[in-house]
Amino acid sequence: MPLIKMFNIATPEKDSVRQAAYKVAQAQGLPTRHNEDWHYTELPTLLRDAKPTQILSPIDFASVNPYCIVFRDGVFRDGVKNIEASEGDEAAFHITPYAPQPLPEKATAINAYNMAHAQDGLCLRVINTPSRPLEVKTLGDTSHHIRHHIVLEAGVEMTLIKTCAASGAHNIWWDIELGQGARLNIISHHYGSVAVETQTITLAKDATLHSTDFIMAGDVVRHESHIHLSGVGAHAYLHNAILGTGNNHHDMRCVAHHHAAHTSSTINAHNVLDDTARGIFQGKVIVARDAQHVDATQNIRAMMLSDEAEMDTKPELEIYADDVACAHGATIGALDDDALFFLQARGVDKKTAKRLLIAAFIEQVVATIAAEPQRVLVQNYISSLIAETSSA
Amino acid sequence: MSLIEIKDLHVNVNGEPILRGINLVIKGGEVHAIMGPNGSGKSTLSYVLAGRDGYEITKGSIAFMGQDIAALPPEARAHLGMFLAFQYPIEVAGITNMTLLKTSYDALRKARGEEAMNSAQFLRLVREKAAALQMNDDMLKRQLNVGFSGGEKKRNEILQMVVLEPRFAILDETDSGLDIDALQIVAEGVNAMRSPERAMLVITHYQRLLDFIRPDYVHVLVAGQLVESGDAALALKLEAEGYAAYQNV
Repeated sequence: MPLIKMFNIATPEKDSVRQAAYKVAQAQGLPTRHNEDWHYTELPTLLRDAKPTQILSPIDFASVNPYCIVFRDGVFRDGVKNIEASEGDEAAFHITPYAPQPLPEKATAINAYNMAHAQDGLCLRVINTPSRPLEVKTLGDTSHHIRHHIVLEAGVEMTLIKTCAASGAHNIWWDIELGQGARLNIISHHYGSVAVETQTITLAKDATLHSTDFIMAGDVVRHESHIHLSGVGAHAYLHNAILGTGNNHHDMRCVAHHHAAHTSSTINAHNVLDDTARGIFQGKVIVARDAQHVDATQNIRAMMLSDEAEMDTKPELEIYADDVACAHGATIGALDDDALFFLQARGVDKKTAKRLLIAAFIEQVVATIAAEPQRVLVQNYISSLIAETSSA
Repeated sequence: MSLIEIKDLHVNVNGEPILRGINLVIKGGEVHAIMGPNGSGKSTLSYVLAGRDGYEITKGSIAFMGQDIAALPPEARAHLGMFLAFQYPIEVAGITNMTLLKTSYDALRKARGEEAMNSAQFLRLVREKAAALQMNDDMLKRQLNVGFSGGEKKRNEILQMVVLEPRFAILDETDSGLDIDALQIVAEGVNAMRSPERAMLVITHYQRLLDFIRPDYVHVLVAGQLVESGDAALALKLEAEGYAAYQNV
């Protein structure tokens, strides 16, 4: 069955919320390259051609003992008891059953399709700071949509690990809200064969988001983030990495919407492309008229390991305020010959030296993970991934 | 026995002849200095000895401890005990000083058929050597040469040398970018390495470095050839008279 079918399923006639969403979706259709936001990813064609394949085993975070919630094939499978029985953290989480909600105005087609078809998702309020990270795993081998909604109440701090390792095609939607002074660390890692993931994260006054997003593997992965800095003093640190090999198509889009004054955002992307892989990174900073004293930087870098690999980057600024500091840059290069020779002259064989330099390039994203145990797990995983997949 | 023996070495870079018949024999325990004007081929000599790509040997030979090394990749030369202190030390974000040192040290041990050293033991060894070069733990933890001053980078090269303990070290303009205090620290580090089994080739523009690292022999490199050799006094003469006399020949 072509994967595109996952978007064109009839919705139950009695379910007016889903019906309405499906109408919005069908009116727009799946995004094509004519949609500027999808300029480099012709989703209908990619969906038509892609076939679900075997995927890599993801990073195993068990050693950091997270609360783990598992969704398999789009439905909740395991983990809530684990949260509810959590010693010392009883009052941290409040989970409600999933229910579709009316779409916001100007919803995108991906949002509408997701609302129309998602059968389940995590609806979670985090009331107190939990003592352990929360991991949400997406697994399964059939096509599915999932929709999560997480609210961090004022002052709450949490680490969210998003493990997307379903071999079936999936469309995941996240709405995340950070209350005043809340702090959220996200480690997201993708392996999915065909995956579309969108997250909208809204930050109230003085809230801080620190997000590291990795596309480790996957035939077609589109990862889109909209960060809304809605309260004064909100800060977002967004570090991203694409590791494309084979015929992978990895598309990241990261938009920082500054709605309030004295907000800051950092968008960094380090992308490595080998073989005939294609990487895309579109970064955008939007500063509203009243959002003065915004500090926003974008830095997109790519390391090309093959002549046939492709990287498309597009850093954009859309600024309506007049007293802001916004910087953006993009560089694309190959492995540094000087550094390679230096490592060899220090006794490191060429193959190992290349792997070290690739890992060092990605390390600049990994190093931003503040918690050492999590960081070390990511570091070790990436080192062995490079050793396995690098044609070097 | 000679550590390194260079015979009639001709080297092209991008098809252009740069070295045009170098002959040089360096024995254990000796320190040789090569001086010469800009563009005379000093760095080409250091790169071709270390095995960098793009330096084509068109004639002649390089032997290290009796073995022809011309076809060996840089890492194999390092495994034999060669070391190049870079004129322009490389910055690598994402690799810390400590990681670089440990990776190199283990690679050399592995090539000798030895086990990797345990990390705690290695850290003690590095700290001791770093202290002698007035480098603190903070510098060891930092990313390789990122944000280092010119002098710190050069000290870092010498730290790598004293940790890796090569048989033959080439110091390519290690004095450039160093103030007089840093120069003294670096020279002390180098002098502490001098031993009957070890040799060094010091490449420099200026005689000043040779006040601190006393060479046994000084050679003048002009237009790809060693045009004169002598003892340390030759360096003083060059300092006073410059290279004009050689270039007009």
